[in-house]
Formats: sequence, C-alpha cells, structure tokens
Amino acid sequence: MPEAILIARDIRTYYGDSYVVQGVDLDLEEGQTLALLGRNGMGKTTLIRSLMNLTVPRQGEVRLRGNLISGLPSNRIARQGIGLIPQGRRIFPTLSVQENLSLPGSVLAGGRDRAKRDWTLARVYDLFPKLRERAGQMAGSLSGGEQSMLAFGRALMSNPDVLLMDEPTEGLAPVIVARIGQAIEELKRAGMTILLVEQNARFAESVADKVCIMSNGQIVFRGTPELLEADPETRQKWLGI
Amino acid sequence: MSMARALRMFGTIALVLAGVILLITPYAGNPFWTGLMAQILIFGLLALSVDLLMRHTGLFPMCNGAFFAVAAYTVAMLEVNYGVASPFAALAGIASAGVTGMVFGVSVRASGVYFILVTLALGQLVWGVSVQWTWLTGGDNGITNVPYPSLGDMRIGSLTQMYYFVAFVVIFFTLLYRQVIRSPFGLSLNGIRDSESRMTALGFNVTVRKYVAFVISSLFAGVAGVLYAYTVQFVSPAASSLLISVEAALMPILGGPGTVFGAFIGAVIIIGIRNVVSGFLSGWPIVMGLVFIIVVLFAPKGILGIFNDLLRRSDRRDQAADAARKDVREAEQ
Repeated sequence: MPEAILIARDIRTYYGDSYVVQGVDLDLEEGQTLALLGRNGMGKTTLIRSLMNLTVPRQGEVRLRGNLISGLPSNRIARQGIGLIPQGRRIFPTLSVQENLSLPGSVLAGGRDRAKRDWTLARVYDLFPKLRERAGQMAGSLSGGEQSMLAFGRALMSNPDVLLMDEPTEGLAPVIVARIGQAIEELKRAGMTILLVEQNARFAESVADKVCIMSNGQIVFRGTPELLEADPETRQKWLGI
Repeated sequence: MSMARALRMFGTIALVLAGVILLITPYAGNPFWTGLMAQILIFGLLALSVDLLMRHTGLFPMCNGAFFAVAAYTVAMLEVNYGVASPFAALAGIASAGVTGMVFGVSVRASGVYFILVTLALGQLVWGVSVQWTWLTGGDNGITNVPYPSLGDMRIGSLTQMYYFVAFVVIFFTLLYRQVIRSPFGLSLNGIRDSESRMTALGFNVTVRKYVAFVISSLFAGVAGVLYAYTVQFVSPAASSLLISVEAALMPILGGPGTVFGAFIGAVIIIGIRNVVSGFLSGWPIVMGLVFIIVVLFAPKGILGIFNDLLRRSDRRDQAADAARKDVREAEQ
C-alpha cells in the first residue's frame, strides 16, 4: 500500500459555538484522488480550510509527509506543498491572466522552501490553451469557466504535492465541467495527489479513486466510487440522489 | 485618422511638451516658476510613495507626510547645526525616514479604517514633535538657512542648478519606483490588494509583504523630504502637517491612481491651485474642493484614467471589425 502523504487526525473545528467539523480523520495516499461528498453545510469547506489552517481547528493534527503542519501559518503550509483551489473561483480580478499565474512562482523563488518546479507557465498553458489566448486580459473579465481554469492553473503554478479543490465545478456549464474533469485526469496521470470537495456526486465518482461522504461534521461513508454507486441506499440517505 | 491614433498623438505631444517644460522652466524668466516646478516634482515623488500603498497594496496611509518631515528635519539639522557633508546628511535623512517607517510599520497589522486611523495618529505624533520640541526642531520658527547640497568643492549655487538636481533625482527614483511596481514583489502587492486570504493560501506572508511595502514607501517619502529641505532651504512644522499627507494622497487620486504619470499630474493640479489660484482668489481651497469632487464623481480613475479609457474604447472600436472577421473564421472551423 502506498504511503499516506497527507494525514489528518481528529480535526475538530468550531465557528463560535457551532461545532462544524466533529472529529474527522483523513488519509490521502500519494497519487490518490479522494472525493469528499456531502450536502450543503455539512462542513466540507470548513474541513479543507482547517487542513490549511485558514480556519483554525480547535483540536486535531495534520501531517504532510510525516511533518506536523497543523498550527503553522497558512502561508507556510502552502509553501510546504499544499495548493488550494478555493470555492467560487477566487482569482485576482485586477491582474492579468499571466500575472495571476506568475504570482505563486515569485513566492517560491523568494522562499526556496521547495526546489520542485514541475509546473511552468508553458505547461499550464498547454493544459488550458484558452488561458494562453487570454494571457494579457484582466482576469476579472474572463468567463466563469475561464476563471475556474485560471484558479486551477494558479494552484498548479505553486507546484503543490497535494491539491485541495473546493467545488471546482460549481455553477459551470457541462462542457466546462468535462474540461475540468479532463484536467483532473491529466493531473492524476502526472501523479498529483488530490482532495476534491464536491456536491456533484456523479462528477466526483467519475474522477475519484476513493470517496468519503461527510454529514453533520463527520465522515459517514468511506469506500470506492464503485461501492458507492452500487449502494443506492447510502446515496439516498447522505446525498439525496 | 482614427480616434485611437489621434489620442496616441495627443498623448505623445503632451509627453514631449511636459519634457520640454521640465527642461526650460528655469529659463522662463521667473524663479517663481522654477521653485514651483521643483515642488511639483518633489511632491509628485511623495505622491508616488503614497500610491505604492494606496493603489498597489490597498492601504490608505495618513503618515507619509511624517516620513517626509522626518527626512527634511534630519537633513536641515545635520546641515545647519552640525555642518555634516551633504551626501551623509541626505543619506541620514532617507535612513531616518526609513527607520520611522520601520517603527510606524506596525500599523500594517491593522486594516481598513483602523489602518487609516493608526497612521493618522502616528503622523500627528511627528507633527507634535516638530511643534513642541523647540530645542530640537526650532518649533514654529523651524530651521532656516539650509544650504544647497554640495559634494566636496562642488556646490549647487543657484535655484536653477538645484532645480535640475531635483529633476534628475526625482526621475531616477521614479524609474526605480516603476521597477518596484513591475517586480514580482510589486505584483504580489497587487494580489494582496485584491485578496489577502487568497495570497495566504498561495504561500505568501501577507503581513511581512505589507510591512516591507510600508518601509519602501517611507523611504521614497524620505527622498522627497530630503529634496524638499534642500530646495525650500527652510523646514517648519508645515512640512509635517496632516495637509501634506492628505494632499499626497489626493494627487494620485486626481491624476490617475496606479500610474506613474498620474501622481505628477495630480501634483501639478494641487500645487498649481495652491500657488497660482491663491494669488487672485483667497477662496482657493474651494476651487481645490470642487476639482476634487468633480474628478472623483466623474473620473474615478483620475485624469489619466479618462485618457486611457478613451484610448481603450477607440482601440476596441478599431478592432471590432477584425474581431468580427475572426469570430466568423472560428465559427467556420
């Protein structure tokens, strides 16, 4: 069995008094794509934010390649090799496409925390040729699909070992969703480890190696996509489909 | 001739004209204009230092006048009281502004309105010192008879020579400023302005970068302060007044935030109104206020913004035919 690259143990996160993530364990193996499913408000995004310490968990620990990263400032965690594609395609609207993409490179060059430089501008443009066409355009003027590709490309440019994706297909046309799916497949072939948070179960099942379902802050199902597909009862109960 | 070409030509002519005026001002026959132009250049540089934080980083500082004043006072004191050689006095002036910036830089931990308030309070601290510590600053009398700078036997002997010296230094630092803005560091500041949390998630230490930007800003303000002390040859609490910080922020807003020329256009307007209109209209602040209101309401991107928008629009019109043809081609494929 491959080594788990990202391990989270007993993550508990609160927003004020509300107990959002209630003791979650996660094991992400190198090269694996793990989909985290669940309905709205079940704590998926909070869990992702907790992994990067963007929302500070009250308890629990996160290890990346065996190193304890929980408690580190978010920017240090990012530099250790975790990339985030935030929900809602959060690009930098007043910067051009190319500037958006070159931002992460500048911090790596300055920080030299990690020498790895697999992803270059050219490679991101090859993955998303549309971005090359729009290189000089302000990112805020891109279409929703293009913005989501940009958010994707920007996360890759920080050369992460683990990529966290928070609903990358939210609100996108089916043709763009398919394009995102292709991109994820290509990343998988390149050996990327991915944690994919999704509402779109069908999409997640099509790309993931392993699926978890989250409900009320806890993980209530772990298994393969095939297992989940063959289990209409679980799907109905936790996902409502 | 298309609109876009006409606009470009206008821009080029304006630029050349500005260059010519910059060169020949001392020969206009009246030292008033030379002094005025020197002040425009100096305050334009100060305005750039504000714009680095305001437009590029998303922080609105109210203390750049303080850095300006600290540098000006340092130069004046060293030159007048201790006879320190000009290069050292000037460097000490810039350094003192930088050190003040390093101390005041704690304010980047605050954001939004709180940042404005904290910098306002810190700036007023410097003003308080310049008024009240008369043993150090001369109080309201200020420090007079600051000599023109010299290097060994070479001494700047006239306002005209001083003017060209100022122009040279301001242009040098403006080019340097442009390098800062265009560097990856400058880009990351723009990212911070757009979203701090996104930058954090990408691995940037946002607070450190804001702090560094703040200190760089204080250094540029310090350069302006040094030039001010040498050009005006007199430093008083007026240099540290809040008005300086406010005007330095208004200049880029009027001229065109985020652009190098915008800061100087704003300086022309504000210093022009203050010095020229005040000659025949005692209510000149009303004129300033009106200009400000009109620009903010009708040209939120400043005067240069109007020009750039017009240019972009006519460019787009010119390219419309091309684009339509290209769309047809793409549809056929």
